[in-house]
Amino acid sequence: MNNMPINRQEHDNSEDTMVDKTSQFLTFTIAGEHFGMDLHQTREIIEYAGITKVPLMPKFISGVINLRGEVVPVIDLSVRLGRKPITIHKRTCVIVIELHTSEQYCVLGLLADAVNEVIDISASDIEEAPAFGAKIRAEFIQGIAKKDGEFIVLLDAEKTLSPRELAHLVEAELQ
Amino acid sequence: MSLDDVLQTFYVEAQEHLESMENVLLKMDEGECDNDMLNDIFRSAHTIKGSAGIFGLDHIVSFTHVVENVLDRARDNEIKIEKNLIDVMFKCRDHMQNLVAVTLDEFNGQAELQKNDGDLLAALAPWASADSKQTQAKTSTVTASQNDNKLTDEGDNNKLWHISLRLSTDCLRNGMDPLSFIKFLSSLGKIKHIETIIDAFPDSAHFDAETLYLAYEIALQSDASLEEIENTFMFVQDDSDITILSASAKVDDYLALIDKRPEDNQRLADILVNCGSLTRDALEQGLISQNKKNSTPDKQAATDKLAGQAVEQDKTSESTVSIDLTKQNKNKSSEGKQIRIDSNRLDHLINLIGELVINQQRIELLSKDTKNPALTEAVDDFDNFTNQIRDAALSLRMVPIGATFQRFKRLVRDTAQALGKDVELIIEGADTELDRLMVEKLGDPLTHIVRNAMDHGLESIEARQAAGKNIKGQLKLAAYHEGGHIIIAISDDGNGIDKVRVREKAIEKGLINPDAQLSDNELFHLIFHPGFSTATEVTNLSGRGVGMDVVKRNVEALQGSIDISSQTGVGSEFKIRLPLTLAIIDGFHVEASGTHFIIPQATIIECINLANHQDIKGRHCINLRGDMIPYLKMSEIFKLTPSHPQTLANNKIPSSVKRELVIVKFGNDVAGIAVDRLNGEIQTVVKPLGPIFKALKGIGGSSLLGNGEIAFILDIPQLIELAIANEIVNKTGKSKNSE
Repeated sequence: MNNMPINRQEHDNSEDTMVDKTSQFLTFTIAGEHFGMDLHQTREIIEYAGITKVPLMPKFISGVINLRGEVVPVIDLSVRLGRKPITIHKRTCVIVIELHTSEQYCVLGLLADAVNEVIDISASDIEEAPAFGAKIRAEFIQGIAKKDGEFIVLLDAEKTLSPRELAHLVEAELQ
Repeated sequence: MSLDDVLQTFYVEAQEHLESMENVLLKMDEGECDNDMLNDIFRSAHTIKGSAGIFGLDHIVSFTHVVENVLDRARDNEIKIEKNLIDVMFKCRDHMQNLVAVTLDEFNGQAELQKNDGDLLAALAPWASADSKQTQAKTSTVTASQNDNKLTDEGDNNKLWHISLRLSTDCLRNGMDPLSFIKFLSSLGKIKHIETIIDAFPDSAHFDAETLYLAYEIALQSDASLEEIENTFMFVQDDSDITILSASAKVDDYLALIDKRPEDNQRLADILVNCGSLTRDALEQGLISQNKKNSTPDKQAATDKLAGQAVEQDKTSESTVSIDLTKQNKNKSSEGKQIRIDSNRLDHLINLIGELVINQQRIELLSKDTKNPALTEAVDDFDNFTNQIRDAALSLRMVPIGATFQRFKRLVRDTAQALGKDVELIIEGADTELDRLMVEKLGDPLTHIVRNAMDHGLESIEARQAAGKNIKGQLKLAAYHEGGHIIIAISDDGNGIDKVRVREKAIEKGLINPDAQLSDNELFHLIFHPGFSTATEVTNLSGRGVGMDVVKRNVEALQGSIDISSQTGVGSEFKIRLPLTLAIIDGFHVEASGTHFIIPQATIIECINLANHQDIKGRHCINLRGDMIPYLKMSEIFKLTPSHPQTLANNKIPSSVKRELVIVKFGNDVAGIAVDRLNGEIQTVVKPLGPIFKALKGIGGSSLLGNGEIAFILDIPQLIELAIANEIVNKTGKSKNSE
């Protein structure tokens, strides 16, 4: 429940100056694709145990869940990244993330098919996102890492899941 | 504790004292005046001066000193409280507030403040003629005569105190200069003798310039009370060892002090003798009796006057005047029946209790399954207490609006004076409770509305006379509950909003077409446009057209709305409607297409079975005892499709067949909400849905049910709005295809 301190400094460095530092990423799979997210931003992983749909919401908002008394919105990351909605199955899980943006503090759940592992990736092993070809908006991608011959798309959670932008999308849907 | 923290404490306390000064002044302005009030206001000024002195905020001290002096004379009935004085005192209070806000350096750099300072001191001069009276009394020397084994004063109130000061070694690091305490002590009375003990000084290799190694033994002659002297050390008492003994304390207390200190006993005893706090004879006597371990009561002590206190025979406890300062402080705060808590801690507590309640509800469900009567009973008790805990915790966040309203008394008074109007402020529903956050954010909007009402709404005395109205204009601030909302109403009996003028101005500004048909409410809402003002001339109070748009924005940020009603010549009313966020709500739990909803109980009139009623001419309207009631279907308005296969199985009725109708009231209108199932009353904690869902109308928040499922709390006015909007869209055929 307690806030996890986020080492923003380290994060910034890896982005801007490419100092050779390692950062930890949580990797997960959605529809066979591998994604990674800065470990500092993730809080916990829980089993998918049903979801309460919120009326009139766009598809990328799956609904809300009760996380020990907290009502947490759950995002279908797959839809958000422009793919088909995720298929719920027995092993579907929810990655709970915390976003500390300059505007607000926000807790969100993300649906994933499977959570794989926590890996250390050194900044020099992260390649810049290709301008196109990833079929994901370039600004959502923090970089691409390679591990055991597979590509891992490292997502920039603050851009992909910016509460402000999500709210705008909801507003647009409702009009 | 760093200096910043301590300064923060000073600011907070100064603010409280300034507020209490203002309240007293307002009462005096209304003609009340008694000794208690004078004492109150004097004490406030005195405390501010004292605390400021400790921080070396000399600009505050010198000004407040004069204010305090005048108040002291008033207290002694040397001068009378009159209107002029109250006016000047108001200004002085405001000036003190400005002074508190700036540092000494900033003060020296601000010519305006200094000029103000001078002006006000000059204004106070007529009342402060005998300025030096108080200080003279304090510094007048009294020959202390020797009385048996102690020095006491005779024929004068001045008492001797011995202060043994062992300040925390971090004192300097925290920004406290021991010298300033000693200086301040000298303002309380006369320092007869001071010994500096440098035993703790290390050799030069270990010397740290930021560590305090000095200790002091001080003999103070003063008529200040023990409390006043203690207060000097208010900001350092936490980790310092300070003992204050009155001269009439017994030898044993001094001996205890000597023992307690790390310094050499004999030397310390010499110091005490040097200070004049103890005589050599008494010391020796005391030492002898101590050596003998003789427990016979000290006859000398029994004859001492212990500042009116009964002297106990027991040597160690009550008769000792040395008091643990921390303990004192605790007593003091409980006197005020208030404690200050970090709001984050409060929020944390409330979150935890929220979880407790949910867990409890789960346990309740589980215990019912066990069919064990003893367990069920125990759980019922548990339920009872959890609910009480929750209510108590939630009430911690709620504060009455009264304090906010009270602040407007001053604003109204000053504004009325500036405008040459006679205005009476009426406050209603001051004990209506609101969430603390809301109260904080309401200040600005209320100020704007009140100012506007006074400037534009209420007429001048002449105009009121001409219109045959009471020359005293009325401005009313009221707060009350209505239909699950809190209403803050600001009304005046002035001239009302000039509809023609608003219209003209709006056309001029291009906000509306010249031939636009507007309802009164729509017309009035035009005044919330940025830059909109009907005032022909800009006053320094209002008319610049900023303000009302701020009002609207602030209120909307609180998820509230504003209604305006106004009648020419009779007055206007601004009604701010606010949700009860984070309050517990009494709701009614309903279900539609497998989704749980909670309707705020306060909006519900009744529930009926829809099967018994026929739609009127195919519309969503029924005839209820002669009234035509429109209704909306939850499943339609929220485009619900039964999502849980479970629900489908349980609920054989297709979702198109509506069964139950909840009749709700919003404002003056009545409507029905068709749902599948009524699940009964429920008391729940509102959980806001978060920023992402801000645009979602009709749902005000969420709540957790006993089984852990999430229910949505309906916002009835918004829901009806949504229904109306949908209807318009459907009629005009512009219905957007849902994806």
